[in-house]
Amino acid sequence: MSRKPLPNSGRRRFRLLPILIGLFAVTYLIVIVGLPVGAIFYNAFAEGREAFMDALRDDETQHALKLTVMVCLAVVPLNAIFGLAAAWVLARHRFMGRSALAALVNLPLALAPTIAGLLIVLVYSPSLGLLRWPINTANDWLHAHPDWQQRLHFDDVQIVFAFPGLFLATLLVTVPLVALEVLPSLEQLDPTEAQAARTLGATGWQTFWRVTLPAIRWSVLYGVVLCTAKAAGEFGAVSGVSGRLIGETNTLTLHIERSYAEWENTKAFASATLLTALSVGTLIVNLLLTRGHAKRSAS
Amino acid sequence: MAWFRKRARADRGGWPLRAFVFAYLGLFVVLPLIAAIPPLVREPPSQVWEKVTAPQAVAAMKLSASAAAVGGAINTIFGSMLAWTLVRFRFPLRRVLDALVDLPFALPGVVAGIALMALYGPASTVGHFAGPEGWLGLHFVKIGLPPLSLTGGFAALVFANLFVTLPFVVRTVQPVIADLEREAEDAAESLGASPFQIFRRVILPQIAPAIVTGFGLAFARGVNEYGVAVLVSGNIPYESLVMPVYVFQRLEANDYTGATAIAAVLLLMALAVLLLTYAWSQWRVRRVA
Repeated sequence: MSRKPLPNSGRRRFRLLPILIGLFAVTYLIVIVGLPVGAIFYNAFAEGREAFMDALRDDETQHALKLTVMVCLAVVPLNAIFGLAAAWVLARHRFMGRSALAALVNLPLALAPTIAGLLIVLVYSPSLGLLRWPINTANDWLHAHPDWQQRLHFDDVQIVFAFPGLFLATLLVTVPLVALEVLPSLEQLDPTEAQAARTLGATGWQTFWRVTLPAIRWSVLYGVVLCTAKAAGEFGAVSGVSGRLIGETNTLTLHIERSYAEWENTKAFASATLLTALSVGTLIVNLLLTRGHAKRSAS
Repeated sequence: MAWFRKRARADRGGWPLRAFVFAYLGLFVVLPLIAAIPPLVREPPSQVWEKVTAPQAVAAMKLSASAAAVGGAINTIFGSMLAWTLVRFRFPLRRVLDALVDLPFALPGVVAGIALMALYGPASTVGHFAGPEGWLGLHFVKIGLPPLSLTGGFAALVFANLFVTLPFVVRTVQPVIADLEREAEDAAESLGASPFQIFRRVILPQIAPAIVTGFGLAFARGVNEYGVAVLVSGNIPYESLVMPVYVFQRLEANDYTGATAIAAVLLLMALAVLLLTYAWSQWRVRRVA
């Protein structure tokens, strides 16, 4: 009978197999994820700092950047408000169809981005969309009344192959992000603080702004940052509805693809560094967030 | 008590809030889904069926499903190892590596696509090394294998899926491994179990539901991937053209019925695998408890 020392939970015996698995796993992560991120920055600066700056100052890049910022400015606040409301309803309301609502909020995550683009075309295309009748009627009326066109500074209603289409497609894909980040922290929230605020005479809004929102502010922040990164990086959905008119509907991701296809590597990778910086930013927020959680649960 | 109950309900926002949530979803999510119905019923069912069973569509379905399954399976194994490493070891830069796992979720597909091309594409050092003229490629040809290409073809699709789906597996398995009781492993070891037996009999039964859920999420994500796939795979019909790209091409060709029909198949495929794996892990959890 062999005598093995009893393993104690404080110090463990040195074993080779776990170390090898660990080394392999970390190498895998670096090869699959780490090196590609390094490659973006390496290629962006391959022709020097000046070429990198020129690529960013390029008119097409500047326009694509502005367009992407505008799409984000339109999409993110709406999805943030919706996300808070939906998370609130899912956490606090009990009603028929609650699980249907949860499924519907989750659904866009299972939707391929190109399908999202297709669906927006199917709703708003003036030739065959579901809403072609109201769109075409409004356009006919506008074309018949040039004075109103001037007064409204508005020539015709254009959705597909224009900014509204980019907005709608991006919105559809990013609908669940804030809601799904906020929901768990709202469910974990102790309701007694809010109840105390109410008994002390605070109104519902005061309670929300002063008690509930501060308590969940980090998950709201992370949801908003993540939603921004996903909205700025949306590619499949916008490529279906954009039409890729350069200087008009070419977003940053479409600009990257085009530049890369036209062998303008520095332009493609320089624009890519902007989006990479944004997604690394979300990771940093996430890192700070989990550290905050760890501290809170430790104390 | 009636006034009290009414006030409590007002605390929760009441029906206007719920109406806003449903209206928002109705306008931006349900309306587009409804719009998918007319293209499917406008033409006779036999014609729609013809478009779904077109040889190129069927090839795209097979490619998408098999690439997502293979990529998901590889990541299920390696992702679980990674999750285990991140939970059980304390080493420098662990937190940074842990955060890095989430990057494929936040990084845009095009950006990842051009990065993978630059790093492992045919023009890169690695690509040349493994390609038909490189050292590894030549040796592959000598023993009768095709030269390895990480970009272009099926291997590229799997590779794209490995990048895209890693966070889904790791983040599903990681919390379950963190909750494992190490005393059970210690007890098994003190009773003389080998590392493999400990894994097979103690660890695996506890993390199996999470692994299966992780595979389901990875499959659903992988089968829907567009950005990385379109850049990396070369998009050759019957060889590397996947369903999301095919949907996009049908849309560009103004074949709305075909695009919608394939899109419906793709969505059902993703949802079916998600629901099946979820149901299995729920059933498993309940049976153990």
